[in-house]
This record gives sequence, structure tokens and C-alpha cells, in this order.
Amino acid sequence: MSDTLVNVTDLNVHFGTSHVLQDVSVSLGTGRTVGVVGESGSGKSTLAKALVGVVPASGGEIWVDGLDVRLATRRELAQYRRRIQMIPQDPFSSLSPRRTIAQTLAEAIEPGRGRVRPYQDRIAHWLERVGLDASMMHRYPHEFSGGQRQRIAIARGLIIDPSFVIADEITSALDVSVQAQVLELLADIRESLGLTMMFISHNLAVVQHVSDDVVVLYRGVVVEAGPVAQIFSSPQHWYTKALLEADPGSPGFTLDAPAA
Amino acid sequence: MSTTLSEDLTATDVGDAPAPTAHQAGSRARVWRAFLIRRFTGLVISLVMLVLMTFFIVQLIPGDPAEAIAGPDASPTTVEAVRDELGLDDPMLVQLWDYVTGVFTGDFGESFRYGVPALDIVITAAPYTITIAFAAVAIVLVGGVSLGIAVAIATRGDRNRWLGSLFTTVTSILTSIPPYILATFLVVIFALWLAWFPPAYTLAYGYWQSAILPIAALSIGSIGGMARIVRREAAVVEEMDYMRSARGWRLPAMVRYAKHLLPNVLTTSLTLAGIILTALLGSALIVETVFAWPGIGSAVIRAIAEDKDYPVIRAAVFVIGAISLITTLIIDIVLGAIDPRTLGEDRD
Amino acid sequence: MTEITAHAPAPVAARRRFRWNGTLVTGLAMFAAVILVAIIAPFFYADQAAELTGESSLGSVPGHPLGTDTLGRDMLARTLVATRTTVLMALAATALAAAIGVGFGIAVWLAPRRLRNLGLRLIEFFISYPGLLLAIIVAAILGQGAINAVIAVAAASIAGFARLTANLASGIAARQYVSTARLLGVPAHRIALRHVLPNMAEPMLIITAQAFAGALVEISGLSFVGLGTQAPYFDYGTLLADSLSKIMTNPILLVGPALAIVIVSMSALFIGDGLAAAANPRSNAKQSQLTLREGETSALSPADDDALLVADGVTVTHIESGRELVSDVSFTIRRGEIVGIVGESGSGKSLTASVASRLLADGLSASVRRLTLGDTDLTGKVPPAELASRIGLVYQDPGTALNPALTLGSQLSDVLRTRMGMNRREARRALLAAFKDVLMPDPEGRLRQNPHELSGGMNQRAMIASAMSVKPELLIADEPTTALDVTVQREVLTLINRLNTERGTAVLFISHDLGVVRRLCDRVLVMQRGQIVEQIDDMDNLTVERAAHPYTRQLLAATPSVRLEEDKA
Repeated sequence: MSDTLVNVTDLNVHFGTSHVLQDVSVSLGTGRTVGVVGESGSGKSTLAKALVGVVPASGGEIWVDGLDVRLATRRELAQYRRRIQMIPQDPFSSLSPRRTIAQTLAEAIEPGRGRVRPYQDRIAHWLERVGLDASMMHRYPHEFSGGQRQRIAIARGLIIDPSFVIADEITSALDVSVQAQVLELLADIRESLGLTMMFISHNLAVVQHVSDDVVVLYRGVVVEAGPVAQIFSSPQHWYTKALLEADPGSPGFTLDAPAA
Repeated sequence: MSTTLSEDLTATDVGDAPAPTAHQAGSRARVWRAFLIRRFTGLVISLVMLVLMTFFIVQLIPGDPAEAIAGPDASPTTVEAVRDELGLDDPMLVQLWDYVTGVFTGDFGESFRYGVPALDIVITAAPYTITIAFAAVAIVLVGGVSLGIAVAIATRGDRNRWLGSLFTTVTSILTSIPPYILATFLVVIFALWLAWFPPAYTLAYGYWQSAILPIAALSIGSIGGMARIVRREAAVVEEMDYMRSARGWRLPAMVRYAKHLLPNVLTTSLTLAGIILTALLGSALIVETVFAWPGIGSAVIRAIAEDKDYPVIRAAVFVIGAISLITTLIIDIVLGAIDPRTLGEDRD
Repeated sequence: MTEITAHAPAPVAARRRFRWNGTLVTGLAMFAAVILVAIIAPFFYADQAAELTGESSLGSVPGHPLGTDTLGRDMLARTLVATRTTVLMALAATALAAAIGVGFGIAVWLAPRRLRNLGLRLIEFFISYPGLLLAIIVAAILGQGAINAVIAVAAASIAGFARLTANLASGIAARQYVSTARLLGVPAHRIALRHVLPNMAEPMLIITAQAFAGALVEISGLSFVGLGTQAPYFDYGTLLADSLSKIMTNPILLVGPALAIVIVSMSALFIGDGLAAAANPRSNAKQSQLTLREGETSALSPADDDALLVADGVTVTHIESGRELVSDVSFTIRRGEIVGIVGESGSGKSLTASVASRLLADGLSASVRRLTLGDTDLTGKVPPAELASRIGLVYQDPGTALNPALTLGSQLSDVLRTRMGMNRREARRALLAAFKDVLMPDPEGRLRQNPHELSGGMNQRAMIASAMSVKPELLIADEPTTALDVTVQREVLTLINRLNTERGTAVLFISHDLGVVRRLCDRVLVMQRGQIVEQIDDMDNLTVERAAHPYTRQLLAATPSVRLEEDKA
């Protein structure tokens, strides 16, 4: 970890009376990928939202790319959000049904006017980069499959060359074979661009696939964090062990134990 | 758009608070209390707005309200009398204060025309309007829901296609006939030709005898509309996973429809019933004039069109508004009892 | 929770083709005729409508089919001429209400939170108030007159537009393309113009048609009671009022204005209904059917004859398109066995299961060479009680498979009461025992709760308890853990496994997850595009190296699984 791009320390988030994130600390070096894993209610999506400054933190510090997100002014925050990108989960609601793919991508480049023409080459380049045909740019989202739509969402996230990308459950709505292709694409892009990424998922195996480091969240608390190799081979916390053993592919998985 | 239009028209949870899904067990009483507190606060706020609205009926009259009310031919003394009665010379805040304190003691001022407290006139007329409006709503609810469900069951899948077409045609024609037009047809047919009922309100025939035609005029179109909504809603509910579960248990059709489908259809239907009721209250105001029915509608329209009797207008508007607000609240409470999920819909 | 794994959703966002329908065409034709009359009638009949003749108060006579009024003016001509005024007033009121209402609704949606809540409350207040009364109030403030009536009616329908706009906008705002655009820094007003408004066009058009009908009826109503158009101008409402005063002597006068109001409002309502139907076509799905194909050779070996479930040659067709969704699928389940069917979305695995459970959805037709459960031929007429007691069912999403309006105790004991001949108390006791069997914490308390009060895992437990309470021979579980967290998934799988071992209940387990199937099942069928591509009897063969079919190998390779030591990878 040469230079740290993302540094979250003792982050706390409250929704009303419920304590959604509790003293969460995550740090991430440039060019690395951290996987955030947890089940429903673990607060992993809240962490992502706090990072982009959508959800207000009630305590702690969030430094990303030299900016203190919590204390940033409105303008700083707006600029900051152009440097980081969030790739959303659902390929079906993440693209506006009434806008062409080119219009959607152009909006990412130029949010105000959203002109297509000046950026046509760039859009074509990125569509090809994610494995689609550049001639598809004038089509509407309904003409694409779920996997293709997710590729488009990835292209939109990367087209402005962000310094940090957050991928929130981007493969959970896909069939396994499509998921495998999207993961492969992501691994490829990560390598060629040296992407810094936070990969959020409920699926341990997928996280292991794409991450350098992993953070295990349980009810808003980081129960374990470290390099993937270390966490997966010698988990320390009982919850990490339980998660690992619940994966049907792991040797610890058994269906004989009486249900808890 | 994943929601159906009827949902869009009825639901109003637009807040962006993160919706908690898995409710904790054993908190039903707390949910109810929170719901009731929220709703009663809402009612109080709405009543306050209603008072303000009725206050401004006079203040917003373009030009000099007193001259407009007294009419073009009125003598300066009459204009002064009106100005004095409505307190229009006082500063706005004093007028508002006097008005609000008056409303709290039930004093909307004296009717210009009859010289009696305006509220008394409205209170005397109110039961007439309430009778026909509520009777109509009850008929619409019972008739519309049962007709809609029956047709939904009979035409499920692709069964009895002719019935579906007949139903759609008849109900769309019925819903396009405004109640006051239907009222005139009913008068011609049942009062003039058949002479079963009186053409207008008269004690000679007895109260309910006179009430039947106005109630029919108000309800028939809405039964069609309600039945259509229920049928569409029933078709939507029929597609739900839990109806598939009921089929999976091989439950008899009667149990499936009466117990598993009906409560879920009622949720939407009752929400719409609230809208229909307010619409019916409005229609009642005009239908009353066809039958010379001595309700609030006749009173308020006469007060506006002929007498410029603003104290009566204010009192009438307040009473009708209060009735609709309270009815909406009652419907929401009934809805909560049928389907506790609706209690959680926090709007704040 | 947005974190639930939605497995391969159907492409619901696919843009539907616009479908013309009879209602829409009729409505448009009627409306076009009305507009035509509104434009030309005053040119031809204005004189006749105003002309005072000696032929006053006539009934229906030649030359005056709809009679003449007290001043001898022809009622037909007057009605036709009044069309222009009436329609123009209604159009103006609708346009005014739509413009202000949509604008207000969007403004409310764009406003900061507190202001927005205030705006919503304001809309709510006016909605819960009779529109006609609002119109009457405005008329009371402004006085009588055509323009005032238009303003009054418009004011009364603003709230409806505003509410629809705010609701639709909030629905659209919840979509990820809006939140993404926000993060990208697209200005709020651009989001409103670019994403929100275009996506609400369809319902807005429908409501506008309905609002026009409403405006017409209300404006005519105001004129009817004397608050609208004043003499010498006239519209449908004033004509109706004049006729009403002669109702005793000359009722024919009512026909013209009454019919005119009905026709115009009907045309608009038809357009609205037609648009709604075009946007959301009612599925006229034909009733499902299951037929037996006789005289074909069985695909199964005779050794399978005594299996619990024998499904031979299951074929499922979409009736309307004739597309074959499942093609000649054959398999058996022996007593006490767990058989898995695995495949991706569209593979036909759930359809196959729905044929086996005799629950095929409408619009589909199935045929089989043989479908038997024990000695019972499932293609024939089987008493529902027998199906209910021999086949238990568990579904994918316990959150939607349970009825939100009923308590668990009430809905889950129905099958025991209606099909197992138990009375209320016996059914309750049996269900309670089943709850305890699936290790449900606080079983008595759960019986009294509604599904939304429980977690997904608890609901799925309850569903399994109910399925097992009839002591079925076959349990069909369709993706029962897909919507659950992995740790909960493991508990539910453990439960199914235990019930199978302890009771010998055979299980048909449908899943997209080879990892799960591999650990739970005795045998596995791999399906792709409606066909079984491979049947694996020895679970040791379910590896990338040993699987025979390339698709199975591809699925296996794609299924992510945790590697515990890095060097093994």
C-alpha cells in the first residue's frame, strides 16, 4: 500500500435511533480493490453512500483522494463526485428507458447539456472496451440483455476516468454464466487501467475473486479486515467463519448440523 | 413504471426516508399509537387550514368585498352594514382573530338573508346531505366491490369473454354519465312516467321515498367505476405470489377469493372509496338542486348565486370540509385494521 | 433491503409495443366528431340557435327533433352550437390545471425535504376535499361567469395533477438512473426534464383525458346551478338548467344537452381507458391445460416404473405464440430422494416443476406421456384433497409468497382445515407442532403475526412448516433460498435435508446455484433452454473435469466458490 487513496476512520452513521455503521475504518491504496462483504442489514450499501456523501455521517472521518468528504463544501463535493463513480446494482433500473445508450453515456461526460455528438468517438471506444458493438450506441436499453446493460453501466462509470470506483452488488441480479463474464471484464479493466475500487457484495466467493483486501461487515461493525489471502485462509472472527462455512463451495459447509 | 396507475393515484408516500422493512415483533400497539397521533395531528392541521380557507373566501373577493357582496344596486348604507357585519374595516389580523375565535364558538356570523346564525342553517341542512352521500357511498362500496369481484372471478383466465366485454361497455357508459344528468333521467322515468317516486323533495311521500332517486343518481355511476377498479385490482392480486401459494394449498375457490384475495383488494378499494366519497359529496351538492333536496348543496348554491350570503357560505364550506376530512380519517383507520402494513406508511 | 439477490429478473423494463384497441379508436373517433361539431356548428346553426320563432315550447316535431324552448329556439341547433363554448371551457380548464398541477408537483419534488413535505401535505389537504366544492368556493370568490367557472374548475383539479406528478416523480426518482444522474452532477432541473417528465408521459396522458371529462362535467354542473356561463351566452349546462325548469311539461328538451354532455365525457373517458389498456394490455391468457400424449415410447427405463414421481416427456407450450418452453423433459423421483433441477433463467426448470405439481399458469399448455405420483395418474381428475396432502410446496420469495393481510396462523392452517378435515383447534395444534418441528422460536407468538413482522428466514421456515404439516410424500421447493442471506440459506437447506432424512419425504429442489444443489441433492438434472442437457446420478461427477455436457462444465466453471488456500487456485 504505497499511497492511500481512501481512508475511512471510525465512521458512524445513524438513521434515526438505529446505529447503522459503528466505528467503521477502511483504508485503500491506489490501484487496489477492497471487497466489502456482509449480509442484508450489515450496512455495506450505507458505507458506499457515506463515501459518496449522500448519507451524512454522525462521526468519524472520510478522506478520499485528498478530500475530507464530511467537511467538503457543496462545490467540492460536486467536483469530488466527478472523480469517483458508483456503479449501481440493478441493470434494469439503472438506465433510463427513454434515452439511448449514447445519451446515457454522454450525460456522464457532460451532465449539464448531455450532448452526444462531440463525444461520439469516446462513447464508441468505451462501448467496445466493455465488449459491446459501437454501432449499438443509438439503441434503447430495452434492446439489451441484463448482462449487456450491466456492461453499459460499467462503461458509464468508467468513461470519465474516475480515480475511485464503487461497485455495489453489480452482479447479484445476473445469471451465473453472465456474472462470470462481467467479473472477467472487470478484472481485465482493473488490470489495464489500474483501477482503485470498492467492490460490495453479499457473495464471498465473488469478493474473493476480484479483491486484494476484504472487509467483513456485520450489523454495522467491521468484524474483520485484511488481505484476501489471510482472511480466507485463517478467519479469526466467528462471523467470518460462519460466512465462509455457509458458502456451499467451502469444505466447512455441512448440512448435518442442527439448524441454529 | 412498475406501479399501476391506481396506486399512483392513491398512494402518497413520497418521503425519501429509508423504509424499514422487517418490523420488529410485538410493536403493533406502538405502531397504532404512532399512526393515530400522526393522523390526528394531520387532522388538526387540516382543520386549521380549512378555517383559514373559509376566512379568505371573503378576503379574496376582487375589489371591495363589501361592495361586491352588497351588489351593484346597493345603497351606501347597505354596503356599510355588510362591511360592518363582516368586520372588513378592521386590520386583517384583527379580522382573522375575530373570525377564528368565532369559529371556535360555532359563530360564523348571522345569515344576511335569514338573520339567524349561519351555522344553524347549515346544521339543519347537513343531515340531508350526509344521508344521501353516505347511503350512496355504502351502496357503491357493497355493490361495486361485490360486482367487481364476481366479474373478476367469472372472467379469470379467458373464461366468459362476452361477460368481460359486456361489463366493460356497460360500466364505461355508466361512469360517463354525470350524477346530475342521471338525476334528470331518473326524474323523467321514475317520477313523471312511472310516478313511483316524487320528482322533488316533499314530505308528502316520506323521507326515504324522496331520498331514493337522489341516492340512485349519486351511486349508479360510481358503482360502475368502483366495480371496474375492483375487477382490475382483483386481477392484479390474483397474479400475486401469495395467491399462487393459496392455489398450491389447493384451497377451495371460495376460501381463496373470500379470505385470501378480498382483504388485499379492499385495501385499494377503500383507499379509492375515500376519493369517491369526496367526489360524491361534491356531486351531491349539485344533485340536490335537481331534486330540491334541502341539503347543504342547495343552501350553499343559493347563498352564492342569489343571496351573496357569505356567513352561510363560510359555514357550509367548513362543515362539508370537516365531514370529508373526518371521513378520510375513518377510512384510513379501517384500512389499518384490515391491513396493518398501511399503518407504517410514514409521510414525514 | 436492496441487497436481496434477485435472481435473473425477467426483462420487465422492455418497452411494450403500443397496442391499438377498440376503446381507444372509438374514443378518438367520437372526440374527433365532437371537435368537428365544435368548429363548424356555430357557422351553420348560430342563427337558428338564436332565432326567436313563434313555435315555442314544442315537443319532438319534424324540423325540431329535440323540441324548442320557451322562446321558440331550436334545441338541436342550440346544443350543437353550445359545443364550442363547452369544449373550449373544458379544454382551457384542463390545460390550466395540468400546467399548474404538473409544475407544482415537479416543484414539490425538487424542493428541499421540509418544503416538500409541506407541499405534499397541501396537496393531500386539497385532495381530501370535494373538487366540486372547491370549484364552488372559487366561484363564490370570483362571482359567476364563464371565465370564472373555468378558473374554478381548473383550481379544483390542480391537486389531482400535482399529486400524480409528485407520486410518479418519487417513483421514478427511486430508480437508479436518477440517483446515478444525481451523483454524476446533473442539475436537478435537467433531471426533471430529461429523466422524470419523459418517463411519466403515459400515465399523465391518461389522467389528462380523465381530467378533461371531469372538467366538462364540472363546468356544465356549475353552469347548470347558475354559477357558470351567464345569458346571453350558453353552454350545455345552462341549456340543461333551462330544460330542467320545463321538465314537467316538455321533458324532450333535456335530451339534447344531457346526451351531449354524456357523449363528450364518454369520448374522453374512452380515450383514457383505451390509452390505459394500450399501455397495460390485459393478459387474455387462455386457461392452462394438461394433456396426455398416448402411443409414444417412454424415454424412461422400466426400472423407474415404481418411482414416486414419474414425469415422462413433459412439454410446455406458450399457447398464444406456440413457442415451446419445455421440450420433452423426463425424470423420476424415488421415495426419500432429493432431486435437483438446475439451470439459468429461461431454462424451464420452474415450469417443469409447475407441471409436476399441477399448478401450470394460465396461458400455457402442457402435455406428457406419463405423469404419475405413486399410483395416481396426475393427468386425470385428481381430488384436490389428495393433491394437497401428497405434494408440499415451497417458493422462492417468502416475503411475497405469504399473504400480507393475514396472520401466519390463519393462512397456513387453511389447508389443514379445508383439505385435511381438521377443525380450527386441531389445525392450530398441528401447525404449532409443525412450527416446533422447524425449530421456529416462539411458535405460539408467530402464529399471531403477519408476514411483514418476520424476517425472510423465519417466513421461509413457516412456509416449510406449512408444507410439511400435511405430511406430504413429495416436497417441491422452487428456489427456496435464493432470496435469503447465505447464513440463513444454510439453515434452511439444513432443515430441508433433515426433514428428508427423518421423514423420508422426497424433494424436488429447483435452483440456479450448482454449489447449493451439489451439496444437497442425490441426483441432478441440468436444464438449458427447455431441455435436460445432462442428468447426473453420481454427485462425484458434478465437477468441471467429469461433467459430460459442455454447458454443465461451463456452469460449473462460472459458479463462484470460495478458495481457502491461494495456491490451490
